[in-house]
Amino acid sequence: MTFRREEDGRKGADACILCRLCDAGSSYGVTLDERRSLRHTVWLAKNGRESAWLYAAMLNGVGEKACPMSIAIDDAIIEARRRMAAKGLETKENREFFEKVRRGVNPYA
Amino acid sequence: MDAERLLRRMVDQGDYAADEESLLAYSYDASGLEGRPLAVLKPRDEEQVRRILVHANQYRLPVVPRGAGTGIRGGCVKEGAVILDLRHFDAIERLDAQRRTVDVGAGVTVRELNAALAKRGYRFPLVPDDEEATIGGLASQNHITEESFLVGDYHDVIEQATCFDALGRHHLLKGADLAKAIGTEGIASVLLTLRVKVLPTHKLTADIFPAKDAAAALDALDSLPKKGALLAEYFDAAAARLLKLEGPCLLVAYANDDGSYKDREYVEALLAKRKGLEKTLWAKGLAAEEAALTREQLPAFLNLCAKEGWMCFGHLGGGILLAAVERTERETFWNKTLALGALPGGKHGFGRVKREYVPQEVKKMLLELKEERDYNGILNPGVLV
Ligand code: SF4
Repeated sequence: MTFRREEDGRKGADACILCRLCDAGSSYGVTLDERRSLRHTVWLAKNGRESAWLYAAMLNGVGEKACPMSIAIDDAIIEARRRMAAKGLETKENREFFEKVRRGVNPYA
Repeated sequence: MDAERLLRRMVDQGDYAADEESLLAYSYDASGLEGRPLAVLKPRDEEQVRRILVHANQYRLPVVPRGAGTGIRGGCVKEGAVILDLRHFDAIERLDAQRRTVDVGAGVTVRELNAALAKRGYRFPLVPDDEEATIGGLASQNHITEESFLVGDYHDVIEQATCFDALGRHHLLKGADLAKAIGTEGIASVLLTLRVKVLPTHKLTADIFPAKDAAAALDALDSLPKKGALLAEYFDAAAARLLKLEGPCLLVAYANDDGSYKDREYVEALLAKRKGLEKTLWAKGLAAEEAALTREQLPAFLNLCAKEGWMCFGHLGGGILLAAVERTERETFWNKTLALGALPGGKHGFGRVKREYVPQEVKKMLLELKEERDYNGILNPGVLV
């Protein structure tokens, strides 16, 4: 898989300045649950933390548009999730989801 | 029952958090400072805040009031503290068109407030570079923006406020009492609601005056018409290049037709780029250090930056200038800037990161305030004093 940021020169999670502008459209604004904030998800990715909360972000691209540091947020989070999955540390829900996809079963059922 | 278990009972179920991930998520802000709190409480009404404060006083638990955690001075990061997350204080009500005021909860962000006001033809004037910041947090820092040139600081835009002191005593703040709560970074009171001034939405035009040196910039500033100028921002040659302006200049925006740049979209884009300038510097690995200067100190500071090769820009009209310095040069910068008699922290407050720079006479005044409102020292210990 080629990450988009390799094509357009955007930055990784390391460049995050924790400004939280990406949260203007995230679920944090509704839930006010700091764990769900996109800023925190990027912080987890930046700090190499393996946490189920890396799966909280919806990766809808809205936060990326607001980021003043041009961080490819979605890519950074996917990368962090892949690192977790490679160690077998992804969430149970995630594992089950892909198991269903592999079996050709509706993963949302 | 231990202090922690009691704390849990101070708020609704779900508004208390001490799980690993919540503590991590509240262990930092935009300053880079880190400190793991004891617990996070998100009160939903004033009674809950009062109970938390009374309880914290009884057990001498440090309490850190927090908005959106966007500060860059570490004001809301404290190891072992109880974090009082005030984001649920999010009401925006009683827009008074005649008095041009609106009542807002301390946890309302500037973006939320301006989205609500725009529908009624108004706006909150002191928009920070980071619109996700809360009004309560900004008032606590007395955050200065470019429009401080026209409207002043938070002392000028807040008409009244309500707060609890550390002992859980409720105060309606006006006049001198209100002044003591603004800019004191939550060390003596927890702001709950604020009545802030708003402006009607207006025209936007601009002028760009070339300013080849400090004297020219100050001349341009002094010759501005007194009415209608919203902001007066200075950019030296390097800063102007980043904004794609022709050379060192003073950018003046007006709330009327006075400016020669009348294309609103162009002016808005320019101002948005200006707001992003600090972050552009961070992206380059530079530090943007801010100095609060009197009119008399401005020429010397501009000359110092020119001599040292530090890119300089900022709110010339409001007496706050920023310099881009290598991180390794910070100490040199501050030694030379303080020697001019300038103060650091005019824009973002002092927090924990810059508290060593708070002048002794200000510290003395703050300690007196602490004695009156927080004699057990539970509110935001380690900030300012
Ligand atoms: S907007 Fe960008 S820099 Fe700011 S917190 Fe989000 S990811 Fe980090």
